[in-house]
Amino acid sequence: MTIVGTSPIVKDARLKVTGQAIYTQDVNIPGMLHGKILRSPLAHAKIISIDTAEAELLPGVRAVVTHKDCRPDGMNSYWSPPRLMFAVDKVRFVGDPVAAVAADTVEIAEEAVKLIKVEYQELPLVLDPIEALKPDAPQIYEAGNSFTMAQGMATSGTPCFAATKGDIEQGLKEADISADFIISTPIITNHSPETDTTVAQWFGEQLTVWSSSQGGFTLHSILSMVFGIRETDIHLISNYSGAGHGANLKECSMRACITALLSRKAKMPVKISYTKREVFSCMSMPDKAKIRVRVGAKDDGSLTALEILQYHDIGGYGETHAVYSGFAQSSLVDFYKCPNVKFVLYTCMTNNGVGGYFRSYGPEMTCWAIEMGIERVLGKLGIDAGKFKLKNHLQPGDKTHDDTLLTESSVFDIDFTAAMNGIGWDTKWHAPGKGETYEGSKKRGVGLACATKHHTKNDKSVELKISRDGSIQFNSFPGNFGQGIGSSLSVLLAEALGAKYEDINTVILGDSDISPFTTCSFGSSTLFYGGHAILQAAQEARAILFERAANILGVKAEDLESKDSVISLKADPTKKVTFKDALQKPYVFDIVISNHVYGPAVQTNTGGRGGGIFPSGALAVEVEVDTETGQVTVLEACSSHNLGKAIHRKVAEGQVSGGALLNIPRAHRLFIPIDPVTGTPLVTSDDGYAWATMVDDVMPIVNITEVPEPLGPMGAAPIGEKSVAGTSAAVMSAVFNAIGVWIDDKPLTPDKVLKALGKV
Amino acid sequence: MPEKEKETQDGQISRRQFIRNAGIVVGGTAVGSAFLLTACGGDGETVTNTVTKTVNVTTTAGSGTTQTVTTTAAGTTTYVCPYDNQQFANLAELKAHLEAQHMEALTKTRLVTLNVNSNDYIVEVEPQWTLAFVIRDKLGLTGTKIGCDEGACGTCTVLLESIPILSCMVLAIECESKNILTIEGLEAKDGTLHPIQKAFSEEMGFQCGFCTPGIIVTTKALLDKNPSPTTDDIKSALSGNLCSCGAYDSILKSVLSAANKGGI
Repeated sequence: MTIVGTSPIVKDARLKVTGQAIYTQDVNIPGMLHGKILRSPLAHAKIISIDTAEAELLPGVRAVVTHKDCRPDGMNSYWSPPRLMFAVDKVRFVGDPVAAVAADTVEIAEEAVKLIKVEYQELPLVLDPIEALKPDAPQIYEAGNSFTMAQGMATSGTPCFAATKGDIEQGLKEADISADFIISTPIITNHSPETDTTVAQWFGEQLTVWSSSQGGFTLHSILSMVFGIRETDIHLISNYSGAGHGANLKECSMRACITALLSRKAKMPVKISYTKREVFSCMSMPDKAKIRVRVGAKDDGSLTALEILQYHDIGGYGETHAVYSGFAQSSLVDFYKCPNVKFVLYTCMTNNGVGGYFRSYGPEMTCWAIEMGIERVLGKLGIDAGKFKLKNHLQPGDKTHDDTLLTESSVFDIDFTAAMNGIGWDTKWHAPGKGETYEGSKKRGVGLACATKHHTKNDKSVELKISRDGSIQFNSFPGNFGQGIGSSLSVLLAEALGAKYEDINTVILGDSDISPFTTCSFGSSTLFYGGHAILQAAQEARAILFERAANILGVKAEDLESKDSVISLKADPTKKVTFKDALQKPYVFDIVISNHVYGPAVQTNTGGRGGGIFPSGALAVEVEVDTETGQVTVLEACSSHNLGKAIHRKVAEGQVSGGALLNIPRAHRLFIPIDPVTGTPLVTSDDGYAWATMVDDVMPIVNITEVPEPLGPMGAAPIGEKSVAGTSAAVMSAVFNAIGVWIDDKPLTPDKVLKALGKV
Repeated sequence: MPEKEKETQDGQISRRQFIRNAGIVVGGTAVGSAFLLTACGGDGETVTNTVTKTVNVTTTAGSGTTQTVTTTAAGTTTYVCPYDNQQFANLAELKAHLEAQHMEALTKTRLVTLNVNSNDYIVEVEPQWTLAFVIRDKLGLTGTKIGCDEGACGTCTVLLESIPILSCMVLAIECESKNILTIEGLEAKDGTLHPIQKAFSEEMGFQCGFCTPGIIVTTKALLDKNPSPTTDDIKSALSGNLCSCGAYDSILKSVLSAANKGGI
């Protein structure tokens, strides 16, 4: 392979460094109105009445909409439980949309929203997932506060999902040492830097939407359902998005529907841009849970039982896939050898904001619970957790309790070792709390966690065009939110076609009018399945090119090869034809190929839920804890991942580095405090939320392993999300190693550290 | 706790809302400029940051020149009207006074000449319009992005008289005859990329690209002052530019590469 594994300049580089890349917030249309949403100030209340009369009379107001303007069949397939774009009879979280206004300016729209009178009757609220399942808890839905995939809303206490192997109670009896504890994750946000924006405009009964979506036809289908129009009546454009991380999957569907509804009523184009305050209360709040962990082990550390009871808080409304949050990753519950395992997921409705994704669902939370269980007993036994993990994980060919087969890319030995070596584990590990003290009050420690995530089977399509002048374009609909997919696919295409990378001059990633059906970008699957689709298209195009070249040269097609967009005779390279000439003679011709890959067809030998391939990854960190101030600082981090094959090396490295860097602060900094009385999020802007910055956070050492994934395109393994997994687990075990005491609640803010140390 | 949040939590209006409503800026411009000026190791004028008990009120009064009124009162926060120097106990009262007494001055649109990327633009601006809004929505230069619109993320950074400033925290009306450089001004007229843009291209110093214009212009200000920055200099200069893709490693490499190639 000559191009795969290199780092040619990414396709959108010029547009991005010159400011010419058009994001949704840059879209302005003549006559465009501005929309604002009226949101509930209460976390749980009955709506008695909504009076929009005064708002409608304000000069400059062009449309006011409420649930009365919606068709009754809402976004049933995409939200769990079903949800209209506006609250109907009650509001379920602070920020629940109640009405919206379109006006000539943002200021008028803001003013008009204030004139809408909503009479509420306050209801008791519940903000804790375990409390929400109790029989006397406030009922957020009539049917109960549990959600299950099989039944929809169910009586409180019905598990969403359960899996078991062996006998947990027996395993605990056999244990020499055991632990039973509850850990909790805080509310965070997955929002992106671009102020989340949608523009909608109707042309008769046809709708055009510009949206910072994560591509695919998911939003398309939602719009089709909500407005009762056909798929081809909708033109969805999502060229560039200011990051994705899952924020631009479902919440943007709410915004798109409301914008389109306003636009239809006002008969003018409408733009809605969220403010940061809206973003912090209304975008998906991922991975918030309480998790009970029970674990048992023999004196030598070998595990006898591991039980994870996950109470996952999906808020007042959950994004459908959020309910998968734990269970997809539950395959890993016996990733470290253990004969008796149990995993139970309760999906709990509360009056918090909506549950959703944050660059993966599950692993950051579930990996953390699993690793914490193991570390807890190893810590008591004084065993080096890193060395234990290195010896006791599953190998390629092994299966998890749910028949998920670990394929050849699951080389955890290599990645664990590389991550540990990356931070100098052997010289730094010490018995928990027994290390040296630095500068009078600082203790250091190291932690290691498995960082993997299955990928999600889904469908991808590409349309490939080789033009008569030899230039090449392809279009697909993954969206362009920084994942570098256009460049990675271009590398695969150039390699398979024998074309110059530079000849692929048009890469269209976000236009539903010209792209064939594809699912949206999620689940570390876009390069995996999109790669297969483009390789198949390349193969078909290459056959046509070779056939035409063979006719021109008077040779057989099978004797030809291609490189740098030139087709030549293998035996005599002087006999050659360029792609351009092959398409000009004897008549002018464009090659157009549309190719679709059906996800499950690619994988036939893996079990489990979701996808099944678990390419290996590991994260090791060293932390310093100031025992006087409680401050936790990450000193070093090494993120080692098997990528199968790094298709575009810089893109791949960026995924590994960025995923870890961005998410390490989830262990010790990031959280949105919620007012326990009102349920109101108390952080409303970026400067109250400790994002990773260039000075505050350590840049991880990146180690790339390349053991090919046999099912992947040219050996590539899924990579997008797994670098996120293991971040909290590694940091929290390192803090334990440093100070010798456990802290059960994330994030490890100074107050919790000092409390654990008995200093406050 | 930042002053703005404190006010918000007290049930009063935020600094940002205040700008929108009344057309004056409290503290914000000074904070943004001072921060970035320091970050770039500049030795120009020092702008004092606001402390909790001090309120800087900057506004454009009568003649179009900018005047700054700073009042410090030990133990009490005082809000001073920039037009008649009357004192008020809180922002809400000051706002009410401004709306009652000085509405005309506050809402009067004004013709302002902005020199953006060496081109003069004469634009009619309302007093509360931010520079970011005018650059994007009135001049159509959408290369400058708005992230938080409240001075926290660095996305909207442009160079004002060669100093990186947060354009969402500066009023356009304050920029009369000032030289402004946005991302669109870096590329040569013949289409050649600026060396910094070239370095960011080659090193892939971005992922989604949304924060990139702000980062590139901040880098330009850094390298103009300090052509051979250390890694720490770069981190410090870019500390106010958030990248939510976590591409900091390749951003750092891009700046180093630009510096090594003399990219100023």
